[in-house]
Amino acid sequence: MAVKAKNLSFSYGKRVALQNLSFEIVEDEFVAILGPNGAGKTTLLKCILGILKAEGELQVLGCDPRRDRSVLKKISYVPQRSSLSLDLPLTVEKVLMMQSREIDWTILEELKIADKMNSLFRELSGGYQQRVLIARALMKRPRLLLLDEPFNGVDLVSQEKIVEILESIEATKIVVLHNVNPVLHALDKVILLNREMIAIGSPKDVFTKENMLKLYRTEIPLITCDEGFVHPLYGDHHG
Amino acid sequence: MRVLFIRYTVITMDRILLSVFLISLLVSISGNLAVFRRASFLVAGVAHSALAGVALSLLLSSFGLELDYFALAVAIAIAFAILASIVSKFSDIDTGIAISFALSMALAVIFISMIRGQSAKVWSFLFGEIFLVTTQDLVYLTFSATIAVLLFGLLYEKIIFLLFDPEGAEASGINSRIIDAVLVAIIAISVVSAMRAVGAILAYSIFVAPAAIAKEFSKSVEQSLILTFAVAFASLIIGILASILLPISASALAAFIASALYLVAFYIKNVITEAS
Repeated sequence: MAVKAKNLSFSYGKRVALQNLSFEIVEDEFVAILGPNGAGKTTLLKCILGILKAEGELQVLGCDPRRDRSVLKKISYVPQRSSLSLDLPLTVEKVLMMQSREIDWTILEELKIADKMNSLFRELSGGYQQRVLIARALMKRPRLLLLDEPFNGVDLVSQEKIVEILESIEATKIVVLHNVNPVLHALDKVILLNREMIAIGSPKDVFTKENMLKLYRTEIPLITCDEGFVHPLYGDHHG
Repeated sequence: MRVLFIRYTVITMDRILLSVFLISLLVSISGNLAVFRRASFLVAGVAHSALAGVALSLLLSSFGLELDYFALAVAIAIAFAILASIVSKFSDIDTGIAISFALSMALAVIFISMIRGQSAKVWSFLFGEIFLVTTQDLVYLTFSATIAVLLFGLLYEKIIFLLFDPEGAEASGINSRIIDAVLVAIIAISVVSAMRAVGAILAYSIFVAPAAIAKEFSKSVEQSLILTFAVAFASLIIGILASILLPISASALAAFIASALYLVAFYIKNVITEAS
């Protein structure tokens, strides 16, 4: 079991961020966490990492991350790009070396960033910045990979490249998303979260009108594509 | 007499040059830490908190209790930096710094008004004067520079990771609270040790302007450190030389030069950006 949570709760002072979450994520599963703003998605990732000390039972790769920090060696985290400080003049190479002493050129070539090693990270486009962050995470050879909104501000070409890489790696992947459509076909499980668990299961079981109404408190149209996947239509975004 | 005068001048210039070198080194490290941490106002907050420490030291001294100003100033500066950090958790870092800054300034004025007979000494810390740096101040500068270089050098990778990607750093197992505390401590001891030379009011310009200039032009952290050192050193030396010719405080001139250089650098950077 990669992640096992029972009655997991967390509050920022008096504000309840997560309430009685219980779920299991099997190893090598590709899982998406969806929810509106303020639903607790990033908070849940931080609880899994043990950065935030949630109440309840939690096991990550067989350890409780709140007590055993050594489990972090097997986990890689790709934060939201908005949390980075782009004031620092760091090259792509320097950013990559933050997680690993050795550069894995195969990963860089897969992500098409091998020629950008001497470029300043802050001067790259959003898509290439995200590729660098993912490369940095993968160089650690994690068993569990957590990604927080990896497609925000990322062009379609980079999105496709990122999805391709994520599908190919052997690790448990948990990704927080606003728009699930770029990765829908690759997902094993979806968690619908709005402070509490709305639904958990395969995409076709979870994406129902009732669940989307409970999640977003408004109707989200659903469409089934030719391959049989059910896609939520968010405004003008659709798969 | 002439030999004695020349010897005195050489000793004085040696002391001043050493002060300038050490202050520039501290500016290089602390200024960049403050700018990269997006907490430039922390330097101003620390300087004014340290002033409260100096005033308290003089107040206690006026009642017969001798306590070293450096230790007290650093302790109070760090205490207010911690207060700023706590307040910022409920609001934002700027508000946190502003509140602790206001509180420490109020305390400084309260202590100054209670000092008996030595209040003039506080003004030398308020405005600073590099020509008045004593041997004891040099010892503090050397101590602070050694600590700052050692801590920064030993924790360099962790510091850069935390400054660039705080969440990623925590997720990698870096204890962000300890590293952040080290950053604040480096800034605190740097500003306090330089206060006699540059003054609490002008410390902000001397520490932040060179780092802000370096941020516009540097292609690496190492370049930023070197450029910050060069700008700080040049500003202080030009300030001192100009002060010999003009009846104006060397510290004030140095702060003015550093700040003016930032405006020039900002303009040049904009011209370069538009041209490309």
